[in-house]
Amino acid sequence: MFKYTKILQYPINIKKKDLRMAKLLITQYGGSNGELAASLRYLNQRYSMPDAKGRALLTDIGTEELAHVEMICAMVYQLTKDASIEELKKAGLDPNYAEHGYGLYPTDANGVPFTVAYFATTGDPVADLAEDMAAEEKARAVYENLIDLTNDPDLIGPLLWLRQREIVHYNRFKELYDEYKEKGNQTR
Amino acid sequence: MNNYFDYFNYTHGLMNQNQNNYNMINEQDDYNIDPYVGFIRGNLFDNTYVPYKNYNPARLNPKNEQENDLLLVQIYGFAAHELTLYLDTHPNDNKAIKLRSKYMNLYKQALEQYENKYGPINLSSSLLDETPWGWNTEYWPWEGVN
Repeated sequence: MFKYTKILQYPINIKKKDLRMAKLLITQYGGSNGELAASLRYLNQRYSMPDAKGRALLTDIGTEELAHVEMICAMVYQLTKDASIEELKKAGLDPNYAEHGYGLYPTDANGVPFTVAYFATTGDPVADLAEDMAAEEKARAVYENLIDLTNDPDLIGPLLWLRQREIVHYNRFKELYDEYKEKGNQTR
Repeated sequence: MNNYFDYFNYTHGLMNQNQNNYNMINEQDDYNIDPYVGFIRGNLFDNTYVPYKNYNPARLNPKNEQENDLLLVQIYGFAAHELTLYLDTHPNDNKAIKLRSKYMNLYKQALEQYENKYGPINLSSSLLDETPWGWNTEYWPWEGVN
């Protein structure tokens, strides 16, 4: 089960409205390499992990990713709150307003909605962990692209932090991947 | 840094200090872990930290007592969580288990201190036994503090 704690994992306090960055950042919510895809991918893959280590790691990283979903949503929310219709039009967010009003909706930076195809689960632990390692590297790369696109320190701080979490998760997945690979080779 | 209160006093001091002093926390243990530095960079372990270009981690300097108390919850929660992930793949590392236990206890203390001053932030809080219902606060975490 999951329990909510009423704090963010890392503080998000954005002072400057920036609809352009909100439009780009949303991809880390609903894009293929985003936090929602990561969380649900790991929590979905954990059922076919072969041992306690795999079940524990995918559960714990998948849970942390939910906290990252909340951070990204907080960023999008703070960047867009109080935006007028005129400002939304100017930023090219009027189609988004037509569909969703001021509600948050998980899409990538091009407006393509989230899909469960992003879960990418095969049921083969080695293949799934290789997918997860790739997912962490891709999310790291997207965070770097996003950092390159802004000069607001209120955004750069949390983006650097989230990028670093991808590196830590990659390392943990790699340790498990190497262990399973080794075990697999022994039984072949 | 020997105990929670040293650390608390340190972060309190941070509010008024030169921003360049954040490196002064140096909790030397077997893993050379510094929970504040680990938290601000998003990686508890020196040997796997990879900076991006020439960016430095944001220095989180609390602007008031509440932000300071919240930061302590986040710092200790993060340290305990990092060690949890580490232990998932290194389950027999007794030193890491002891260290996780230490940070988990500091997290619980910081959480309790925060809740006693500012209200419940988890549903197990005994503060929720009181009327009126204390969970429906005006303020939610994603709203920011500006």
